[in-house]
Amino acid sequence: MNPEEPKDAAEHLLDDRWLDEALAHYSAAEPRAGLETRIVANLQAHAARRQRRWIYGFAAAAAAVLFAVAMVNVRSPKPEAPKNLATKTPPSEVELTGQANTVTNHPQQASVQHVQERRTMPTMQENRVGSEVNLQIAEVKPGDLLADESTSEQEGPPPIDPSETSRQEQESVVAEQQSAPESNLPALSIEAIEIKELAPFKKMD
Amino acid sequence: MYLPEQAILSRTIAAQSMAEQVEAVVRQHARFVYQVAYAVLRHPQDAEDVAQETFIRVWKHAKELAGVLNQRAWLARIAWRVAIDRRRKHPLIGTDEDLPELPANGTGAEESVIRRQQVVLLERMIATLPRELQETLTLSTVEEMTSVEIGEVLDIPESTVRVRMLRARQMLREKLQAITERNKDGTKRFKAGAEV
Repeated sequence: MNPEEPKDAAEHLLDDRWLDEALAHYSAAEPRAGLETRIVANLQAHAARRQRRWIYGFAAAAAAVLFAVAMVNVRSPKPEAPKNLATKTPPSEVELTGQANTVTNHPQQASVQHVQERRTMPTMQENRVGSEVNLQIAEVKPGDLLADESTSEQEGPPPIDPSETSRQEQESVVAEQQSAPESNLPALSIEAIEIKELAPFKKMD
Repeated sequence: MYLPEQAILSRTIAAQSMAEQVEAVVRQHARFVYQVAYAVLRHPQDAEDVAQETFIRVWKHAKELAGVLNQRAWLARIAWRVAIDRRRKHPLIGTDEDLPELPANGTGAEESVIRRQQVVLLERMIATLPRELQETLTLSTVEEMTSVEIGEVLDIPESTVRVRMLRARQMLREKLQAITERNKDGTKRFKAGAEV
């Protein structure tokens, strides 16, 4: 038997004991006093913070939605009431349109037909006239209207009615055509009227 | 009829009971979680931060708490992962400030110094082990942690845990012997030099 063996065994035992002891102390660290209280307080603060974040997030989302709705309202087209007013055919014209299809030899009646047919023509041209009137109306601000109302009672002309303006236009066109020489009048056939009707209107535009 | 007030009330009660549950878990296992974190990070403040983070995660998954069979293993697993993440972000840098304060008395101070030296030496030896052995041995040093719980934390069978622990201990013993023999040689040489 080797005399070194008992010595080695003793050393092994010592090493094992040393290892056990060292490993036992390796993670035997004690936390500072009140760790549990600190953790609970931190959890409560975290919960409150999270709740606050939800509230702020909801408020921000609501504000964003309101802002988006407001922007859509601002950018949307103007109310349709003035447009209807502009495109609406006055009753006097409606009556006249019934006569528009009849062929007359009188130059005055022919010129009236030109105007009446032009006014009642359901095409892009009519819409353009309507939109121009709209633009004119859109330029007038509500404040201006109020100011006009207040001042019109004292002085100045009354507000312009769109139906009246259209009638004035119509009369002025009739007057122009009456003053023109008869050689410029179109032939009194249905086809000729239709062709000539469009030409002067384009020139006017 | 189930009114909205009743729904709100039942939710509030459920939230309160959940908070109470989490608080009970904190009171019961905070020290254990701290020790798991300390075993990985070897720094008191970092270990406390990890414990806080662990319980925040527990609070977030409080609904699962009722279905957990082994709460200790579940908590140890969360703490382990949080600690590993933290160590990855902030690698260990040992400083003298981390050393515990020495007691004032003579014998106690001597014991404390010896213990401190032991732990520092063990830390260095564990650092030289392969990673899987390091992890197993580190968790085994945490108080009252069984090989089953270690297996649950590391997601390995219990038998593997035992084998790894044996291998780790064996390697540590070999390293310790090598250090002892080196010290003996040094002492012999010193004695021989003094005689000459």
